[in-house]
Amino acid sequence: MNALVDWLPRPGDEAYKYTSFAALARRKYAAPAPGTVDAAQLPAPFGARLLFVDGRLQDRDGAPECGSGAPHRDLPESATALRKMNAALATESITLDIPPDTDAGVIELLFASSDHATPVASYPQVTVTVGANAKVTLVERHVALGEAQDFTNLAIDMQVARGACVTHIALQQGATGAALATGLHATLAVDAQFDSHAVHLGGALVRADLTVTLAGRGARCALYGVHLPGMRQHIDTHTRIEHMVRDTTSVEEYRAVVDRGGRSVFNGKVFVAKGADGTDAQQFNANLLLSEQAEADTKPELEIYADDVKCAHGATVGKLDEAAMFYLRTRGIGVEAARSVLIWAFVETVLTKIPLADARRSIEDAVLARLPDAGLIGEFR
Amino acid sequence: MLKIENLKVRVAGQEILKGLDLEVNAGEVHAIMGPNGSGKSTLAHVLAGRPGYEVTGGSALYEGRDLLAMAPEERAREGVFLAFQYPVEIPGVNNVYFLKAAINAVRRHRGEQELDAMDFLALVKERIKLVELDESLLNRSINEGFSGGEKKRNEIFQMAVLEPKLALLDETDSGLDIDALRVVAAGINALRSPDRAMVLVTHYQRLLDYVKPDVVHVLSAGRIVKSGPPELAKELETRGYDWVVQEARSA
Ligand SMILES: Nc1ncnc2c1ncn2[C@@H]1O[C@H](COP(=O)(O)OP(=O)(O)O)[C@@H](O)[C@H]1O
Ligand SMILES: [Mg+2]
Repeated sequence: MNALVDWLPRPGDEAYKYTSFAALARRKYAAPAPGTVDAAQLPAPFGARLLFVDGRLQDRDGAPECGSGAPHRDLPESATALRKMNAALATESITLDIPPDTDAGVIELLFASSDHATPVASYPQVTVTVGANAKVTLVERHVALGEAQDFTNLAIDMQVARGACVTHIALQQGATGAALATGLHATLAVDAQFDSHAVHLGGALVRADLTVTLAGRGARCALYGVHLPGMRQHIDTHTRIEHMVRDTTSVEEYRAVVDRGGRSVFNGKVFVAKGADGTDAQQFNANLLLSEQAEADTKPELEIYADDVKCAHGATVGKLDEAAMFYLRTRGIGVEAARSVLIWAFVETVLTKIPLADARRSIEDAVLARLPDAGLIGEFR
Repeated sequence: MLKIENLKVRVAGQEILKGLDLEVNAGEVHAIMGPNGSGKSTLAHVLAGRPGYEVTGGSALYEGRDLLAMAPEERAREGVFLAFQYPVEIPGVNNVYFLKAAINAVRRHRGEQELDAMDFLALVKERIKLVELDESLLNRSINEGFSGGEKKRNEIFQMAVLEPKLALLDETDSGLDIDALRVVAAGINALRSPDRAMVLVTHYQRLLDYVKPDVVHVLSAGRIVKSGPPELAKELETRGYDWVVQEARSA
């Protein structure tokens, strides 16, 4: 019997309305064994690397801020089912401490799934403390070295102190049949900043929960994301931004390109607490359906208890612009190339915001590899 | 160069072109005039290959080949160019890179070497002068935020860069003030050549004061109902279209 069964979302749980993990109960998962990977097969690192193999920390190459401790088991009742699963089943918590007034540069958390036969379920837990006025870029990267249909349930908790600045870059390239749940919760103090850029390319069943609590005046966050689900891929992002105090700011833009047989889900909740006047919250979600057999669900949710706020949200679901396709083709650009150019234009507005050049290049290359005819796009970059 | 016989086209279930004949030779400029809704844009679009336009009869040969069987991009690479009545805005796609991709698609097709960035920019800077378009527009998204006149000039600029053999200009004159009209007309005249054929679709004869056509046709209710010398345009300007339509009916 799988230990995870007890912790799966219950039927009727609103948080999992469009995304069911029920199939996991029927799978047989092994506990992660001390796996090995051939370092040569891993992608080049974007910075100091913490290597997790099948969910277990294996290497902490050049990341002195890293330690480990007992997992956090206590969560508020309001935590999501999958988050509670992580808290119950995690075996340790990896800690990262960025001292105040330092620039920790780029730290990459690489979650590599090794090439193994029996799928593995793992529950990595990472706790990050960013000291006052410190700065760090945290890359969260999921790669697969084989085709194992693993289940990874990752929890990242982040405390961002006064004036600190965190950039989070998530690149998800899980195996074709893999299931992945990530829950990241960042809590920001006065004048702290958290920017996230998440790009989901892989996996069969993906659920990313991103929660930002703006707990100090002047705190701000920007959340950008791209979903590219194709055949038999279901990618779901739920974000929750909590404006708890005055003068806090959030910007959010997620874009999905859904190909035949794929589905994208976006749910963006903005919560503005009583007294959090001067809140500015902007949210936008755009979906491009490439086929009749492509699906997108989008839902903004605003819960506002303050009076003086500036909140805007918008969502679109559309197809490739036929007029634009025709225009490009009348200039000699082939149909697949024209599609690629338009898809690229659609996602590039978000990708271009990724501040780390190495990562941006590599993410753009991964996105281009998914387009039908990207040969021309060299010209457009 | 272009030979259209008895062309019938349905759009959204409705027959728009009802047996149209037209022959255009290299070096000629033909004007097609006609009331709104007569099918002028439909003709231009079907020749450029717009999806959804159903050809139910007739033929269109381009240099002896079946034009209607070719994909839009193939037509473009073979030298057919459509200047749109309503040029499309494409956010996020840079004008100059788009044009480089386009010209190199054409060159590849012809077995010519692709232009490198330097040669391409030199060409662009030379041709853009032809339509007096601001160079800063090159680095914007295609047609995004362009004024009506800038969009039309951008079409002629693209034509100047792509050097088509058969140019179909759909109401390139409409919405232009007199200065812009002169500029566009000068651009079109500069591109007239013995190897190139042009079809000017226009609602008014204004453009024809500046670009003198070899033949003027009147399109009405999906057919060419009258063809004549340039003076026919003047007559249409003063007398309107009704008499031509009447004449065609009683014939
Ligand atoms: N995409 C379309 N769907 C439905 N009707 C169309 C479409 N395009 C053109 N039509 C109709 O076809 C007729 C001819 O239109 P058009 O070729 O644009 O005329 P013109 O350019 O001469 O003004 C009009 O009655 C117009 O309403
Ligand atoms: Mg028209």
